Amino acid sequence: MWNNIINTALLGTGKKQLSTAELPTDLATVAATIMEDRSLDAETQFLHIAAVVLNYRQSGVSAEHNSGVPLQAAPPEEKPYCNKAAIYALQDALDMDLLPLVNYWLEACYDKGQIVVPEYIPVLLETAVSQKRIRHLTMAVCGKRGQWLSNMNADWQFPFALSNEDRWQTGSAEDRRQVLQEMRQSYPGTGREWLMQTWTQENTSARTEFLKIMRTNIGEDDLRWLESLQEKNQKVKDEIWALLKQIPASFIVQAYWQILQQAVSRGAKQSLQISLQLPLDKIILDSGIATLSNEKHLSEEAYILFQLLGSVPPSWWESHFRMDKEEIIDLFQNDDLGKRFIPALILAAGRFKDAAWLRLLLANSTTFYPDVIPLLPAAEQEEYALRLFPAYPQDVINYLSNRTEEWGLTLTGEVLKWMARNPYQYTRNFFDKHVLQLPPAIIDELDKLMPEEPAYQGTWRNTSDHIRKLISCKVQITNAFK
Amino acid sequence: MLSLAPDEASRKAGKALAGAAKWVSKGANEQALWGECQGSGSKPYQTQIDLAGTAFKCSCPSRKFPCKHGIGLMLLYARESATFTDNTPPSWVSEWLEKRAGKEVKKQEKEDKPVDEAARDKRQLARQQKVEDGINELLLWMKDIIRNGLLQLPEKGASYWETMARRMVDAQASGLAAMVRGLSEINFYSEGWQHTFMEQLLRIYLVIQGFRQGETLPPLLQQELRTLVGFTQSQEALRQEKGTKDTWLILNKQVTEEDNLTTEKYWLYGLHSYQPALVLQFFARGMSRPQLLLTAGMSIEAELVFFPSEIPLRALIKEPVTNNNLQDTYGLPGWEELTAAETSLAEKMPVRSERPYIVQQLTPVQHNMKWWLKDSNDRIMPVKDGFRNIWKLLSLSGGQPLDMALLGKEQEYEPLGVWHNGVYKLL
Repeated sequence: MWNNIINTALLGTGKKQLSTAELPTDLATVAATIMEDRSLDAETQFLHIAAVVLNYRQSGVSAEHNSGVPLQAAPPEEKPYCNKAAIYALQDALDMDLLPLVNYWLEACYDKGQIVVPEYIPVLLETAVSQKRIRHLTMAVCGKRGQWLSNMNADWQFPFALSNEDRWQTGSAEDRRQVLQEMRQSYPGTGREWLMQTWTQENTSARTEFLKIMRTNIGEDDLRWLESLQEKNQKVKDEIWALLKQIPASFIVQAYWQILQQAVSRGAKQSLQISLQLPLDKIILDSGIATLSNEKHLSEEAYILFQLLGSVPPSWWESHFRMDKEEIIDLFQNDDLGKRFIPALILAAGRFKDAAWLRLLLANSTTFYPDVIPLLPAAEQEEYALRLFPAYPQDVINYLSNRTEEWGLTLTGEVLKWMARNPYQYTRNFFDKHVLQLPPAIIDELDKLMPEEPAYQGTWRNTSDHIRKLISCKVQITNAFK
Repeated sequence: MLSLAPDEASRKAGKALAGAAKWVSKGANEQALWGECQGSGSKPYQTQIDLAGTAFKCSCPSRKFPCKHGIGLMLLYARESATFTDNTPPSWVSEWLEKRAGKEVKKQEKEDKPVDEAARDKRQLARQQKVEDGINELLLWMKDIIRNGLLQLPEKGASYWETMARRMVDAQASGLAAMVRGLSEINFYSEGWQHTFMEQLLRIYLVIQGFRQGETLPPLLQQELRTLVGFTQSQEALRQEKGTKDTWLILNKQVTEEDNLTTEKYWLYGLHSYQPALVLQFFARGMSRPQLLLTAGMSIEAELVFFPSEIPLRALIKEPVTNNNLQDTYGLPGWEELTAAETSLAEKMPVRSERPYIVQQLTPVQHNMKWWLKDSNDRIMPVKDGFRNIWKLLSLSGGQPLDMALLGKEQEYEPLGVWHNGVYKLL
């Protein structure tokens, strides 16, 4: 009936007349009265009848009797919901659009064994669509309701139910890298075995990437497999060498040691004797030892020796010289050529994770070595970074940016003071990314860090307000899950 | 307070300015709040808020209203009112307040002036004639459309519709002008446009026919039809009428912005009267906001005066009292009762807009690749196309029935909120 009206209207009453025969009997009398009224033109008759039909239609609506496709009810939750304070904190983190804080919230909620209330599930799942790294955590925190909901939305069907082993065998490249990283962290042996099982099916770029991850907890157990690999691709070969050079028992480290034992010895009166005539096999050069010096003050031969020294455990010198660590450092320090090799010893201590050696070597160092210091306890790292901050401000900031733990108050104070005077280099963006590393107590110090230059004061005022806001959200989250 | 902000950016910026460090000076008394905020310029911006009339003024160049400084100052006052120790307004505040008070007096004087009845009647007759002439033209235009067919409409340019809308404005029939603009807003490339178009065209036709019936219709219907044509109702006079006192649940709020004019629609529902209500607030950029501050998801104790109608919906709030948490309420048992109510409304007034309902125990279900809401008698009604918060609704429901506030008419309903574990949650 209504369609009849529409079809007539589409063509126009000039071309098609409305047929009243199809109207419901209820409307027959009204329609007849309208059509018989000769004073009305065809368009008015049409509009009259259409208006009557519209009224008839909207007065007779009834709901369909059909149970539809019922949804299976969501299973009951097994974990308790988080409290209201936690929800307010989550809303703040979402309002600020700060992923690190949302991630921090998810971790805190998960650690506490709690789940999010249902109305926040869609927004969290939607965030996880673009942020692969938080997917597992999000699914865990969204509880049974989250799983139930994600089953109905193709975008939210994250491979949550899969075990690590399934993810390793069937997951995406990013997923597999993540699994291997996790495995190497907790179970390095199993991680290696999984990689060995799929090795022949991996392409070159995957092999390179996976070998890079193998650096985590590399050890003697990995040696047999690494030494058995016969690779053609240079990039893969380089990665294998890099791994072998971190294992003291590997043939290449032993080969380096053979050369070093001959080249470095103790001369008369506690002096160091260094021979730069080094017998170099092809294998030594293949392993990545460069023959051209990139250091101005080191000859080509000394540069080769420098690299070799950086590639053997420093502790081996203790038995070689039959001296203790301090004496050996003195021995190198007091020799004109030897002192140039101290940085190589530092690199070696880092590579072979010898904290005792590293601590002694860095005690007098005036150079900043960000890659090796994570070997030391946090307090010692900070002390060292603080000492070298005036000379290497940006390097120290980069090193801090890569750290996951909270920074110490004193060092943070120094760093922020420097940033306040360099406002164009470190903007709000930097703090958004590193809010989790900032110690909450820094809030009380912010006003004291105001730069003396009037031009920078306004910016610092804004920046410190922003930092306050970020930290207060972080504290809110911490307190909500206490 | 944050809901006063004109947009999300102002809300954030306002929050950022709610720190004592941002303000060079600040003060407050019973009448007003004021403060000087150091911005990027050399002089601090002077921000002032008239608390009695909730009006803002700021010397910053922002076109937003209220600006971030106004919002920041209010937030700061809410958080740390004790730090507003200065009680004597500086001259730039007191002058502004005096000027505002002066305006109020003038307005009152104007209202108290006697009315020349003969001149008023003459004006009204002239207006009636103008409207009649406009309606005749509109009818001719509509008949042209019907004679030539709707198929040619998608090709028409914007001027085709706008010319007629402007003609209606000239004829002092602003309501009809808006309805004609409604026709031009139809998306002629979407499926089923011809249905939407025909419905709107017939609505206009019904209003015209009803308006022409004049005094043969019941007085309330006459008044409502006059309003639909464009005869405005004096809100001040309306406010003097006796209203309905109740606890009003604010089921949700919808905000639209067009040509610098922001329209807020608040959907209310009387806890005891079961009466739905629509409260509208309009404000333009650069002008004071209306005094009313309503928060969706809460309830207010208030007296509402409804615009004259056979099926009252649009209302004014006469005396807003306090905000409370939204309480549980009685809802219709199912779709059958809702459609019966719709039919009885259609009988009284065929040209209707959507209205809010509360229905008990509705469950989201799928049917024909769409989401529907099922009542306890296995009757289903489709969820309005394009409803954005379906996932939030599903998450809250978990496949279980919920009492739900809905907005719609005829055969399409959009959920506004649900009662979840005894608490009303906005969607």
